[in-house]
Amino acid sequence: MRILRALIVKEFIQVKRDPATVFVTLLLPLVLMFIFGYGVNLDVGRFPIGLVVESDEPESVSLLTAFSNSKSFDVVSGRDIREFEADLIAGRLKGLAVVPADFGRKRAVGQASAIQIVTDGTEANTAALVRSYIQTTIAQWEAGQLLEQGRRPNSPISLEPRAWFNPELTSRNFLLPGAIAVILTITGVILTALVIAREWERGTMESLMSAPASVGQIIFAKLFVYFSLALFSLTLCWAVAVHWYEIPFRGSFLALLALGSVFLVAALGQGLLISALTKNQYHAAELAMITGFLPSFLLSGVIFEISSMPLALQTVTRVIPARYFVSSLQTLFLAGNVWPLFVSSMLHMALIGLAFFFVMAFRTVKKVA
Amino acid sequence: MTAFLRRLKTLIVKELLILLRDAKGRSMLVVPPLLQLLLFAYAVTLEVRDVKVAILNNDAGIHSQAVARRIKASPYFIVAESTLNQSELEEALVNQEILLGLILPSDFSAKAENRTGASMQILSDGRKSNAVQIATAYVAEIVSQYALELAEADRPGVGLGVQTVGRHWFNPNLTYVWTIIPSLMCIITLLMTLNLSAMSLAREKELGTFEQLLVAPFSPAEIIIGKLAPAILLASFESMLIYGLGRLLYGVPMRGSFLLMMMCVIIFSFSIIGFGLFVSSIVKTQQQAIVGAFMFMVPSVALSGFAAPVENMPLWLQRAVIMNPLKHALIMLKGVFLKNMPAGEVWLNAWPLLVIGVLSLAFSGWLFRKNLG
Repeated sequence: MRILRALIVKEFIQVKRDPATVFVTLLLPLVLMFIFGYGVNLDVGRFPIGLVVESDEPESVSLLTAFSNSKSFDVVSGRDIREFEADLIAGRLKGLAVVPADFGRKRAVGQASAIQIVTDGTEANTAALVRSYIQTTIAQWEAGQLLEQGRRPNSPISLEPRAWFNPELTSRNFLLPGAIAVILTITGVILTALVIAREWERGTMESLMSAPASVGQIIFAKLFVYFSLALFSLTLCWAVAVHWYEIPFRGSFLALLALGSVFLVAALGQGLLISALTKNQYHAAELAMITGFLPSFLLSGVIFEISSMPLALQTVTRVIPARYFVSSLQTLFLAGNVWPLFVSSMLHMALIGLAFFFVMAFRTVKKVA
Repeated sequence: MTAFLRRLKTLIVKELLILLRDAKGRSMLVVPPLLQLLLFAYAVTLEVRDVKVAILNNDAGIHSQAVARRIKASPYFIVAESTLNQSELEEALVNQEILLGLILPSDFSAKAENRTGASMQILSDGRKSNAVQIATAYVAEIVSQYALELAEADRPGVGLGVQTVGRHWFNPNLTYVWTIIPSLMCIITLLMTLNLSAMSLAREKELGTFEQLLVAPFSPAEIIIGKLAPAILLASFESMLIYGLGRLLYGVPMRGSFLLMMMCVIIFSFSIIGFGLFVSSIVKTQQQAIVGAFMFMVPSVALSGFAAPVENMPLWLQRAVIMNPLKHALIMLKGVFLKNMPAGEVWLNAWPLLVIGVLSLAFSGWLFRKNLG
């Protein structure tokens, strides 16, 4: 126990001397929370579009006004679709709407008239959004026209959508809790992998091992330090999310710490394993990014919906600890303490963590033998 | 000049040897990009499919059953087979077993029949607000189609409002993988060249070979070019690998020229390596180098338009991301691949990259000279 305490003190001193570590635990979470809070936003944006009005009929002009007044678009108008082709290729415009020359005439005699919507398919997500915003704007304009003529747009069925936990459907409210999982992956996996890989690379791991402490104690002391640093990052992120961005936090802080701790077991285990496999900082960094950071960002459900992925990929996400942490965090912030969900998440994360440590121990034993 | 080239060759061979001398090093150049291509190519989509839905139908009339049947028939939804009561449905929502719960009240069919305003409740899980918005739109489309048919039955011709015909240019079926392969080409290039260049000088410093390099008969320019060239070679190799796989495995079309694509990759990697060497020349250890590289990489990816549209950012941030090389690279490479973007347009996105590269290289060269002195 005395040896362990000495080791932990040693590690803390080492951390204090290393500006990079302080940077990762203090500044990186703040920077990332800033980026996710302001930069990654899936709510309605303001898209530049071109509106082609082939004639000056009053109906077309009124539609143009409707688009110009819409908060979703910055509209440039033109007479011919060819004027805008180059802009669409360059990416300066995200979509076009073409109002045909006979648009008003056809409507006046009760014929169907079609507006063509062209979008930039190379940005698939944006294309789908822009198309649906254009459709919504046209539908609203049409409803307004009917109302002016004293006719009610009479739909016999209406919908009452009610989103629980996040009634305004603000994307920040679910992105930021998810981002915390990405940040903890960085501190947990990458920092651990690097620090221990450095010991291997410099050969100081060997000198540590010749010290009167067991391998277990040495590794425990190191992990303990990074565990506490990561929990500190977690608290920092939580504070920023709740106090700066005013995201509701309906669960308990204790549940947050419990979930975070179990997640860190898996993350630290992964970092440790990477360092032992590579024993080289360059390779450790690369591997940690590819198996740690990128999956936590792309395969955890923080932005991209897991249920929309192909089945094989959905299976892959099951071994990514961040996946469980992300859904728990979203629940913890927006819904509150849902223990059945938390317990199952913690079990999964603990299992993945144990697997990492098991492989690690297995390799070490083989080496010694 | 020949002596210059000879010295340069020595440096380049040395750098390549470090990368390629052992099996682990060689596999680190090929396996990670392959893995990323296979794993992430299908992950990066905001498309919403297979939405888990539960329907609580409190009404036995024809209209509620017709609506429920249509929702079940939609390819977007997976409707839970077992019938739930209200509290079971709410519990399933809380536990994330379903995304939407549709509740049809007992008077739904009667009101729909009398045209007195039937209504359907949609409960959704706001924890996944993006998916909810899209899935709710699917439901709305199905229901309004049904409502339109009812209205048509009363008054033929009423359904003839404004129709829209949508076309996605360059990618008519919105095949996500087409846009993701060029994007992954940029991101993998970013990742590999940034790591390599940020670590390169830092490693020499840590291992003590930096002093040897300084006393060797090389000028700072030679040393920097010696670091730059191998990394550009590597980036070109990775991109060709991704290009081949993207074409063969995923059938991504190439509408522009291959040469223009390679030019884009080289210019983009030039700017990234420039920045990486800049990081490398200010840090003391490899660990600091990685942290520096990371502080650059994460914002670059997050603020590039790759995950969320640039147009959704606040205006001041949209202006700031002009300095993000990845943003330009994405426009160029997607443009060349899918839009046959003309060279003039490519140039508009390429010159900021050249500026970033030259500035950061000049700065690292200056720091280098300071070290020499």
